[in-house]
Amino acid sequence: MGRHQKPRIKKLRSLYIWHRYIGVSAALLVVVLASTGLMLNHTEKLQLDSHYVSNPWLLDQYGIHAPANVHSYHLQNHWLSQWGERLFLDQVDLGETQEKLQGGLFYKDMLVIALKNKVWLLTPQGELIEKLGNSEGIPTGISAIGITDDGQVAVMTAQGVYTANRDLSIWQDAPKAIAVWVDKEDLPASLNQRLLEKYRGHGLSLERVILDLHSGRIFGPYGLYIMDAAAVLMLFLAFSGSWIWVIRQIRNHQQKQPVTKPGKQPRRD
Amino acid sequence: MILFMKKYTQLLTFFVFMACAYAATARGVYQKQADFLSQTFTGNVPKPGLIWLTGKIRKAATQILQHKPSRLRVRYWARGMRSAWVLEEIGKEQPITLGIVINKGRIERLRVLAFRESRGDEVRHDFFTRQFSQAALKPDLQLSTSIDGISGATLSVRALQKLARLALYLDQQRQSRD
Repeated sequence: MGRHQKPRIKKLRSLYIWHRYIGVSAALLVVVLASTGLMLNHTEKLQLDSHYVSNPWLLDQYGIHAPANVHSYHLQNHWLSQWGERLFLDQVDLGETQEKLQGGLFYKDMLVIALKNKVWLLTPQGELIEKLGNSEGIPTGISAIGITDDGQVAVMTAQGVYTANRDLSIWQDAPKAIAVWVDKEDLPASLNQRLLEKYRGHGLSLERVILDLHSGRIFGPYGLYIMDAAAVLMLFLAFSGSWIWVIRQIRNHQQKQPVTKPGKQPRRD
Repeated sequence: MILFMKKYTQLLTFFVFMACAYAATARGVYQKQADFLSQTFTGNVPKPGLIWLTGKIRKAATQILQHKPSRLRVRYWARGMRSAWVLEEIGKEQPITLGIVINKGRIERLRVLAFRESRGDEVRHDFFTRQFSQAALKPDLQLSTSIDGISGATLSVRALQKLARLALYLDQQRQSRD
């Protein structure tokens, strides 16, 4: 055995121990990085952007709360409400609008929704029939919707009262119309809670959570550094693993070579 | 060296400014619906008619648009064999609003009323929309004339073709109903 062989073995053993401990401690982070990375590579196939997280704790962490104002109206046996930019008929999501909800009513198998500058016509199931606005003769600045005493749909606008014909295709000003306007009402507590969960649940996509998990941002401001540390540890593991393998290969190669004893001459026949 | 850098920074700023200005000019409302209709019917706009996109009409509209129509009811303005349609279709991300005049089953005029995408607004120019003039609908719901594309505006061109076909199809339905 050479004079320097013992310290070299010691060094190798120490590197091996480091490799082992770092490997064990980085394992969890590597699993997180690899699995989230795989999922993000197939975002479209997995439809991560159209699946939403409804976990209340996670939603709180992301600061997704209920909107400050919820506007709601009681239409026969249904509830029409606006949560932020989302409109709901009971629990059916009717779509998004930046305009404020001013009321709604059912008229001949149609749900008529009045927004600040538009009137939406939908089927009772929530399918869009038509969006009406200035081009269709409805002025902007709608503040209420109602039914006139002769059964016409009417909207109160900045330019006065406008009423519609039977199929709601033509709107005209009707200054003498007397209408009963739809008033706001508070949602029942149980529906309010269900819609709150639905609204908050729509605010956070699974893709966002997985992206943040992959980058470490989900663990707060220091999460990024935790994932950086994981990346550095993985680099160390790659180098230390390769180094240990190379040293072992060399040692195995040396051990396989025939050893000739000093002072012994080869026999001559 | 500093002079050299200064010169190129100015050049780069100029190009960025021009690119932004180009992108900004691509969007816009070129004609209001009311003006389009007034121009089409020389000031005497007829009352609107309605076509419900249900049953076989919905099926054909879905085939033309390659997706379900976004609304169930489409309005039109017609006098005799002549009709005007204002339709919308998404080019890449934003809807393009088109005004189409049909006379005796052929496109008389096609005009982009509003373009909201950041690119591809070349389709609004007359040199492009003129190609649709006198186009009719073949039994396979395709246009009778071929439309030359514009590089960089493929999706906008496709949206205009779909709307032209849809307007021609809906006009056929209107006439068979009336």
